[in-house]
Amino acid sequence: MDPIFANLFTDIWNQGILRPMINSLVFLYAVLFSNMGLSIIAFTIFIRLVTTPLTLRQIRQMRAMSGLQPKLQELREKYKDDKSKLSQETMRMYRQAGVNPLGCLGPMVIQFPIWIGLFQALVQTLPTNPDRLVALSDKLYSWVPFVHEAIPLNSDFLWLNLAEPDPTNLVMPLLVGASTWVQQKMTTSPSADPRQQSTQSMMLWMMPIMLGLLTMTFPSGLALYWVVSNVVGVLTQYFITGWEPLFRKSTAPTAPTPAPAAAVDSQPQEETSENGGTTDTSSDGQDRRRSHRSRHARTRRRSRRGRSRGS
Amino acid sequence: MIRLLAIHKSLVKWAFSLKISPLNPISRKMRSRPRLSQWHLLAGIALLAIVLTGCTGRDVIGSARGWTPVTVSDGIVYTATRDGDVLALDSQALDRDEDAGNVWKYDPPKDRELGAVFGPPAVGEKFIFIGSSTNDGDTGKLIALRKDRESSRRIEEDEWDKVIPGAIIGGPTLAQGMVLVGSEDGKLYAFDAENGERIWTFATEGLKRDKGKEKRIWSTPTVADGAVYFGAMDDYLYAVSLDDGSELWKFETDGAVITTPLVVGTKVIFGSFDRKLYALDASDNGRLLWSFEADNWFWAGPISDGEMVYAANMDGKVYALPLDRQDDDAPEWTQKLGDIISSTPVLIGDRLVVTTEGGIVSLLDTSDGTVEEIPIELANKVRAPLSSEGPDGPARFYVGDRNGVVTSIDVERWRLSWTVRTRE
Repeated sequence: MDPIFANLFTDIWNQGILRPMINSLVFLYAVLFSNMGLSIIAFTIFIRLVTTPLTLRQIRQMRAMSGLQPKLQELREKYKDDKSKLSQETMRMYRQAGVNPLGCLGPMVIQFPIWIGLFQALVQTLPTNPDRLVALSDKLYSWVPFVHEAIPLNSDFLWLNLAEPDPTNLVMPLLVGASTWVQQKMTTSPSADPRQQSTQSMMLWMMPIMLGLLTMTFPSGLALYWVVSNVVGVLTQYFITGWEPLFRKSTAPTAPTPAPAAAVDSQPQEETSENGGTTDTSSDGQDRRRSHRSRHARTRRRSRRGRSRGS
Repeated sequence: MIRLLAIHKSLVKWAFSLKISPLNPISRKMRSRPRLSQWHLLAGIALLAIVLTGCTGRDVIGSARGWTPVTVSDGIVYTATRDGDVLALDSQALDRDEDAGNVWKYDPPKDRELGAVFGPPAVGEKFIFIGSSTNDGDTGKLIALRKDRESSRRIEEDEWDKVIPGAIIGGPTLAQGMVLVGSEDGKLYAFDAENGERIWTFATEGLKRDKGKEKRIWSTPTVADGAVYFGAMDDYLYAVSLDDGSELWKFETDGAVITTPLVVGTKVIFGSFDRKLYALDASDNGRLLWSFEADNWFWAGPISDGEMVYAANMDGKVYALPLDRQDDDAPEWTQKLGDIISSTPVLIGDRLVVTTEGGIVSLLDTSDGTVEEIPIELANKVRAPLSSEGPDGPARFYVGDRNGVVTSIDVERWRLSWTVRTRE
């Protein structure tokens, strides 16, 4: 990469994300009884509050997408021989419903720079050697009160040294894993697509396991952020949907069987819609399922006729 | 936010225009090809996790390799390298021939490794003393090596080392046959310089209150008139008796004190993380005489020519303050050098040599602070204090950088005399 661009990106990262984070954390530490744990908790709640509009938007988008599944099936049936028309109609349907297919990704994408920024901020605000402390001096704003005087920060919180991984190597990884699982379970919207179901099911376990493993090597301050952030996420979801998604029985994903290219679209969807009501949360789900079955029966008859003509 | 949403929308449109949507005919065709399996995805996530852990894991958090600090005495430059060796370099021999300059090298065996050294060695008549941080900062080590050793590897019988339950960041100080050193465990230690026996210890307020990391001592002690002065991260500057380690007085600031205090007559001058430079009256139980506020921490120690105090700050400026100033007096002069300064400057005659963290060496006129020569640019960052043989000694100084290069600069000619790369 061009060094000018590299420097530019570094400056944007440092000035736009890292410095505000470091100064916020240190300021909160100074006003919250010189306690870094409380500072991280307050900081996390603040971040979640700031990103609440995005979170709500994500939830709305997911619910809307879920509601559009039957219509999407209809469109696929209707335009299965005209791919470009299907694409146009799908887009039109999304536009009319005010749904953005990538809208669910917003909050997730926002989380990544926060994680990386917070990791760097923790390492830099809780320096374990003089090199890092020297580097920190350049990151503090001279106009923010208390921040210079507050350094060095006391990194002890409960049994943790927030600058280092959890010494038990068990409690924080478990808390991170469990809270991530609960949050994912509550926010994942059921899908009609068996492939998507399968991916969702895998992610439901993969993310908690991955974050739990990372917690064993990352500063426990970051683990504290993950736990608090997940708890806030779960509570937000509870106020919108209640606990129902947590206890919803997940549909066992059916392994997609290899199929001819022409049949790939219709076959797995048919199985899923016959499999159960989890694919449709709308009130008229039963009627829609019935109409789906009859439509799929017609499709099967048509395809059998086609095959006999061909032979 | 509106702008972000607009970008988001256009990205969606772009995705559809590229026909990568799952609802798109092209992507439906793609489904018939062999697809990315769940196992591939799983392996990808695991790899990403490993990369993230490798880049940012435990090793990065605790790693420190030292600053290659130097101390010059009688033309011999002593330094602790980033490889954990101790070198004695003959400055004059190096002027003539690079290969002739290595007087001796102490390469400790595996079980006696030195660790990271940040503070400059203390040089006495018989020994040199070096404090270090070992085991990723969990413990400290103080070692004594003979100055005139002949062998580069064998450890002499009367050399000694001490392991302390807290890293040593500041340098040791020699006084009246004792070697004094502060540690991250919140204690100041006094050892017999000859045999390493502990004479006394002093516990800071931070240790007494169990204030976690705020008890740490990073300051190199200064000894004057039977008193030891040092700062700690519990915000205090301490004066303790050299004889028995009892507390004489202490002065509380609003920030950590890690600078090496300067004693001029009865005045004790030091900087703090509360961005202030303080002058106390040692003869009056540490009564505050004046303070001066800058824009950032004072890390580098102040120096004086007997009339003025020169203090470099992390705000990138050097301040010249009269010793007898009043609280409201403006500095005599201020020189902005830009980059942060953590390395203690040196006085050579009536000139002041200051090195910024970026390795820019500037020569300032002490009368008005003007930069006399075009600054010399070193290759690496500099954080350790500069070393010279005093204002009236040879017109040269020595600096070790963070990459293990020791450099000698001739102030009269304002050019590099020699450089030695200490890392293998």
